[in-house]
Amino acid sequence: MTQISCSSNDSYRSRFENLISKSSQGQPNWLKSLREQSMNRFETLGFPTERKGNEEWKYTDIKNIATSDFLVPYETTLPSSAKKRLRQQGFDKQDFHQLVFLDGFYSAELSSEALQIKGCIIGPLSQAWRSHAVSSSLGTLANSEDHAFTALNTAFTRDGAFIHIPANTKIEKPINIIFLTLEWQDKIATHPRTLVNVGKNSSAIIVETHCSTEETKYLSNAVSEIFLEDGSHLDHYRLQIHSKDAYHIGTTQVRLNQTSKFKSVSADLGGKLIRNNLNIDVAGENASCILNGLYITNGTQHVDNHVTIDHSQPYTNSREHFKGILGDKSKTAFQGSIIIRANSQKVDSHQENKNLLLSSDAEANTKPAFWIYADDVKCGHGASSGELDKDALFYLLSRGIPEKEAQSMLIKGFITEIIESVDCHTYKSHLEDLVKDKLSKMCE
Amino acid sequence: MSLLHIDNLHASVDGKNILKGVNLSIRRGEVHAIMGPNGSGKSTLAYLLAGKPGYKATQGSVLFEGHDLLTLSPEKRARMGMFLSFQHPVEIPGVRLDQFIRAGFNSLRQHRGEPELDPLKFDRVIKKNAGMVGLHQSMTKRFVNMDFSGGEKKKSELLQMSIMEPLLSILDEPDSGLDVDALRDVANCIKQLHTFENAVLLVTHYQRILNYVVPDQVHILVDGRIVRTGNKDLAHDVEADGYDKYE
Repeated sequence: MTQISCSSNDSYRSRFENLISKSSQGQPNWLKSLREQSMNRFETLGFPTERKGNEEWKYTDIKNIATSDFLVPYETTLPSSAKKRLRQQGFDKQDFHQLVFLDGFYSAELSSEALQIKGCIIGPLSQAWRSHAVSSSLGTLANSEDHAFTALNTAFTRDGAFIHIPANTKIEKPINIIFLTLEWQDKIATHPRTLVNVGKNSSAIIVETHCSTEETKYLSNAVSEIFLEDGSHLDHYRLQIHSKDAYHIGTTQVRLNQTSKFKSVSADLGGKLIRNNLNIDVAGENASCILNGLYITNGTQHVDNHVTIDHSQPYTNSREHFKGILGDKSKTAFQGSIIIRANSQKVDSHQENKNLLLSSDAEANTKPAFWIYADDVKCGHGASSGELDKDALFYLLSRGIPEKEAQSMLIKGFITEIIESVDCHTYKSHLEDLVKDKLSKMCE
Repeated sequence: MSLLHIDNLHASVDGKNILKGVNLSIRRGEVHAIMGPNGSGKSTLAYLLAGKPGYKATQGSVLFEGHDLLTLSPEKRARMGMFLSFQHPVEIPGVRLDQFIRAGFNSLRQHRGEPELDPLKFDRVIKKNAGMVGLHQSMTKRFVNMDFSGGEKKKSELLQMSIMEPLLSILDEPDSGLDVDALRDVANCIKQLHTFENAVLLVTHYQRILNYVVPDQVHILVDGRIVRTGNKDLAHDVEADGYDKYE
């Protein structure tokens, strides 16, 4: 395995030049110039380490990412540990249409055979750079102009998933995109990218998994761009089970056209410092989205979910429900912004964030923000943080249930409704197992 | 020997004295009713017997089958055969009613040295009993008491009682908020679950449920003391004259 190192902005530039000279052969000019623009933009923006007066990064300090020396792998080999990890994950090619990326590089060996549906592409971006569907949309939704991590991803991304579903097509089998980070001697950074386009009246289920083979330190800076055409329907299940020393910045940008439906269920169980940006542009009449999320943190884990829903059209709906269970000295933030534009009458939007604190040292922050410029809308929100419900606990005890079991029933029950919102049976039972594992470790 | 023997029980909640010397003895096969005005200490007595945290006995003793009840945790009391039907059953999001009852039921079986009942066998038990208490079986697949009507909550408590088969059931206002038909259903169900082997302590504000579940003894609780004990006719007197003359 070969690698190059990155630390300060200067070294990011030299590593970028190095990467371009080594890997850009055969890449189209549009991609070269997009990378170059993004690199320039990243240099101008710099890492968002300054938090004074910076509401976007109020709760999350990324100083350790900015000052770390992350190596950028430019090739990788397939170790047996990767296969083992996938088996442990219980992901079977039979149940999913699987796309596997090792340190950001596509692994044909671990991925499923290409799908034989006319006009449908489920494969690596690296084999589709010359496709018009990629060149016309990559980078148009994810904002490199204002977001340093998105700019960095666009400059450095080597590969990722490309899912293009033509009109009037239902993809029956869930698609599972797995970004697996392997064991390295040094800290590495990967910049996986996903581009999804669901055609008119088409539907699909996508699982996006971020994980690693070992408990090592690395940065995963992922960006997904998702386009939903008129009348289409996408369920997007994002699972983050990184190493306990990993940093993860994940950005998901979605655009919803008329009458399209988008459901997202995110689960953050792993990682050391996690920042998720989920930005939904509800850009077509009668479009709707359900954004659910759960996070379970312990030790000194830090998870920050930053969700923005922009209702730019009338008769659109959104439902947001994020729940967290916090133990030890972990810290979480939920920042939910809802924008309702002036012409967007009859918007119906609701946001909810609830946290269960299992330790007095844990800290859950909630910051809702609403910008409402239309007058005939429904918009509600609720937030709460607290310990286990003592009355509920007594109710269980009064039926003879042992205290430990009663507590774990209540803790598990707290996030059950989020898990229940997953509509894919195979993934749901996988998620249930992972949640049970993590909770049993926390309640030992 | 009495199943439950309460001797000169004094108790406080949040530092406030509520029970001021309660004496009560219940034997297997009996039904006792405790009646009293609001704030007389009826629910405090029920919670105290079930072991709710925050309810402290300051004087006196409670023996349950000869064991000192007050030193036991709520879960141990349940395993010994004590059951409290809550006046306001708690809603528990994310925990299904059947899973909740099964967890309790299996811990009682474990206590008795019996093997756990697997979900399939338990499903048959709960189906049969749900029919008996008049609760639609689909309700048992829902989260505990979530979006249950007042009547459904009371029936859910009776379903739990019917499966746990306790020695002593303390029913805290099982009649509150019920219409005439639901009251009759609930009362008939209590009658059906009462045998010569177990006992019922029925806490109520009104006499009407006692038309169906006929008590062996009626106790009037006023300001933390039992001021009068009698047979079922006492309940009728209260219904006619109110509690004023006992205060």
